[in-house]
Amino acid sequence: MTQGQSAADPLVATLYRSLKRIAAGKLGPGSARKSLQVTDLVHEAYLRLDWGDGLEGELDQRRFLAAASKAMRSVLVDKARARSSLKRQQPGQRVALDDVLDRFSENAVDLLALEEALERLEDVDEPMARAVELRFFAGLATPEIAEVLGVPRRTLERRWAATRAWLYKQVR
Amino acid sequence: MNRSRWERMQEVLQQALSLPAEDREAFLERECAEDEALRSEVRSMLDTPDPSFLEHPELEEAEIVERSPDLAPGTRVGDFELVRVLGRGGAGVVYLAQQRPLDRLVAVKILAQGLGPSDQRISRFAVEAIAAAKLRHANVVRVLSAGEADGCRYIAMEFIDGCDLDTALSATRRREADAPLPLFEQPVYVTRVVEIVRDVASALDYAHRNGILHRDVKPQNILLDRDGKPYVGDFGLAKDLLAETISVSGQILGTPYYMSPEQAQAKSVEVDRRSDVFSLGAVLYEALTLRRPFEGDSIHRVLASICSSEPTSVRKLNARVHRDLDTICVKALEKRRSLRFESAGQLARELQRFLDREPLTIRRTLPPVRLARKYLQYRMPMTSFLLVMLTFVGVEFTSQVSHARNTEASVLAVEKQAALAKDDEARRRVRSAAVGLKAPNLNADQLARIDALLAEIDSVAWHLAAEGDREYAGALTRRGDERDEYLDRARQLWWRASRLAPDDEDLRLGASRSLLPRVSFSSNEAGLVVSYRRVDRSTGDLLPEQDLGVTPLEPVEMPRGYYRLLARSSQGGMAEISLHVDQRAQEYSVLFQVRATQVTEGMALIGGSTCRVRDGARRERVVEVDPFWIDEAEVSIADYGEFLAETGYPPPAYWLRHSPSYFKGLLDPSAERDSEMVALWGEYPMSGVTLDEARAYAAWRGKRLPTAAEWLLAAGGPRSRGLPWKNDWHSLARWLADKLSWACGEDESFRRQHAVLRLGSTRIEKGARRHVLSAKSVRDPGYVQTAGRNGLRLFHVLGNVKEWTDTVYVSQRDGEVVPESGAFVVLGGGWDSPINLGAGPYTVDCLERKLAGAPNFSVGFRCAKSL
Repeated sequence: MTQGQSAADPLVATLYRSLKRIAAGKLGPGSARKSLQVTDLVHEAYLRLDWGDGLEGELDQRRFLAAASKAMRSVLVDKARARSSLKRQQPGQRVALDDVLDRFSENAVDLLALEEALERLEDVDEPMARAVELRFFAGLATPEIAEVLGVPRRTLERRWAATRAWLYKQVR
Repeated sequence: MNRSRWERMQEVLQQALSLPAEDREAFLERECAEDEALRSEVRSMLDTPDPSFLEHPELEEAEIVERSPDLAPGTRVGDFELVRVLGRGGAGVVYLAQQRPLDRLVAVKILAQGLGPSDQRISRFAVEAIAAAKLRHANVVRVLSAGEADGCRYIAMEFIDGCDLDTALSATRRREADAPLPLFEQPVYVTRVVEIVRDVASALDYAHRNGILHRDVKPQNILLDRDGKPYVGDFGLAKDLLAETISVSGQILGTPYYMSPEQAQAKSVEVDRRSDVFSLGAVLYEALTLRRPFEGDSIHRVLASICSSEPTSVRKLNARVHRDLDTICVKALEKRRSLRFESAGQLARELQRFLDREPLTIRRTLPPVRLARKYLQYRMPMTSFLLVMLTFVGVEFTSQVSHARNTEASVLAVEKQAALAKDDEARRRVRSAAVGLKAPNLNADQLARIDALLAEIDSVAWHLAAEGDREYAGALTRRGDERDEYLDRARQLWWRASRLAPDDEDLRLGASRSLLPRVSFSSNEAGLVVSYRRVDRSTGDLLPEQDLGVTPLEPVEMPRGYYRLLARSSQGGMAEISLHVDQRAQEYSVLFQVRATQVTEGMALIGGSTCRVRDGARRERVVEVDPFWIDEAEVSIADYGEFLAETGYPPPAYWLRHSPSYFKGLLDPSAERDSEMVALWGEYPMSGVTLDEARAYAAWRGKRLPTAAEWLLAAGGPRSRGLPWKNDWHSLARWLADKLSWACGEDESFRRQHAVLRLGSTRIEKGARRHVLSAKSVRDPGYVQTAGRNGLRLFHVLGNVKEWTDTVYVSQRDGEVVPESGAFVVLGGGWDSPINLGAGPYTVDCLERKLAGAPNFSVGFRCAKSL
């Protein structure tokens, strides 16, 4: 982790709580509570966002989502790595984002194995690696992913099923 | 696995998965008959994965780490006895407390505990206290004291008995009977909300003027007392602009819904008072519509929406909102800071104007479409107009019109002039003359002709405006430098258009979107005639002179670009100033200092001529150069020292830092001057100055820097690009040897020690690197000496130091010739110029590119002056 990252941890914790309050009661009807649970993660991811150059004001939503999901992936995988090394040294110790990490790990079988598989997938099928990021790490639905990647929805659905099956085999 | 293998596998797997489970094996047998490995691989992948696999997890409330417990009522913290929790902020919990000795109720914010020590949070806490304690404003929550007691860090604040705006808005949403704000449907609701936001804006303006940004303006931080008076509280993320910054660049500080785009992009270095303006704009929007301007079902999307989407118009959501308020919201919520209100104070004033039912002073941002449509309606025969390219004599013309007694003669004069008008400025004058002519004594035919003229000019204006819109729209999809380029073109087109038809409201409104920088002028005497010449961006050439007016002058909006500004006094004095208007600032100020007497001593007069110029894009052009004066020699260290001593201008930082210590005393007016040093070194050329420093010197002398074309003309003459020896390097070798003995002739030891010039090698040797040749004692055999023309003698064209010119360096990029940002042309030879005798002639036009802000000891300058 970078220096800036570690310095940010207490801030993230602080923001986490204030956002939690928003999630708990201040959002109007129709707002999605569930996403706000991951504020901590989101904020960490933010610190890693690669904004590209010379941005002021206008920002392409598609690029934004792609960058954000990539950043989420990097945060979670780093956390998972940190946890696995910590667990070896101090069993039972909890780390930041542990609960969030647990939930992601449940759905990924093993985050570190998934990362390894994703890296291989990137070599042969970059768009599908992006699709995994958008779906699993950022929680986008298929039509949105299709839009971000600029591929037809049906194609994406078919490739997603096959890619998911392949990844499942890799991480199991 | 390679790509083709992957694709093959995808294909088989996709088809297999689309089949019912029982048909899959048969399909694989058929499909992968040849490829047993693929078959078994695909087969192994057909087991149904866990349905949750790779689904984004839904995270529940219960998983959130619990915060530390609140302190119980009755707990003592220093003088304070806690009564109850009032609220929780980012950095701590706020309690209502009784302050014992004074027996008053206060709000005490206690830094959150239980999260482990964090220096950063503690220091933010301290900064908050220090920052907020400075503020005394009727609409700012007052900080009473701060400190540490009983293991808690606290800030005691004025207790505002009431609720925050967020709670008030929620009550309004729920239509509660005792809501703090009037009923949403009542007209007084809007007034009330505007009053609140106006007060908050003036409070923020006050804080900003005291160097404090709030950074987290949101309804939760706006407290309303029982009378509904608003107070801005919780400068929790306030960053004291004057104190050392504690926030690590790149952290997101603030609540997402009200963040400005620059905050959402975690560009903390760029956050300024306009970021608070944006957040307050979002609060105003929400209060007027009961909806946040930027929503999203995740923080990602809220932030993406802030950065990329335009909020629904306020009036669409609440028809009772006046158009002016909509205008105010749009302006506060502009994505680009430069388009927003420039301060919270301006926002407060516009809101007050709205309350007073006065017209706003800001202009509405128009969608490009509307203007394009208007342009289409105006499509008229303008080709003839655009094709006429003849000389224009504007000033005489205007007087001609005003003095003509015969109206028909006037109309004819205007028409004739219109036909002759070759540029925008000329057209503008024709237009104002034509408008002035539309007097009652014109007959119908004459009126029709004048109207036709006006329509023609206006159609040109609209054409320009539509072009500007296209550029503007195009720029929005581009990035960085390229976008600036396009925006700039759009601005220039808008500017030209609005000048052509100055009384056209729509054009004026449209042009306001481009918000040009303002240039204000001051001068040492009144009555100076001020004009400007724009510098052509693609060539660096000066375009024809245009009038600005007579001092004292109102500030003028000018598009981005390079200008030469001229001020002339009636006594023949003149001041010239180079100005670079760019996007780094909105305001520029120019000071003209006209000297009564023309200083031309030590200058050579060069007659107007044409000159062949080569630029960084390797284009060779012939440029027309007006007659000018140019310094015979480069500016010396003593000259520059005189300038510093007389004006108090700061000594060149680069010089002070990098030159040998015994040199520094030459220039630093505060240091004791060593007369021996001055005598020894003062006559050497000044170098190591930035272009701006050189310009400042020139302005002080009542001069300016030469353009590249002028410099080349003065150095090389109209026909020759080279020095007299042309391609004959033997002559050059002789000349160099001469130069060396000139330089060191009287100082044999110096020559032995330093100035060993080895012919055939490429440079003057180490040790003599600073200044081998003195500025005044050695004279280059400039071409004139041999050619003898004009009796001109220019020194050190090749020797000593290279020289700044005031010409923008253009180069070729992606097939387009563009000026390089901040780069200027440096010409001539200097002590460090590689003189490669084998490679051919060493000519004066060995053009170099230097950044204006990057000085170098091998670059000096000489001044020039227009006639």
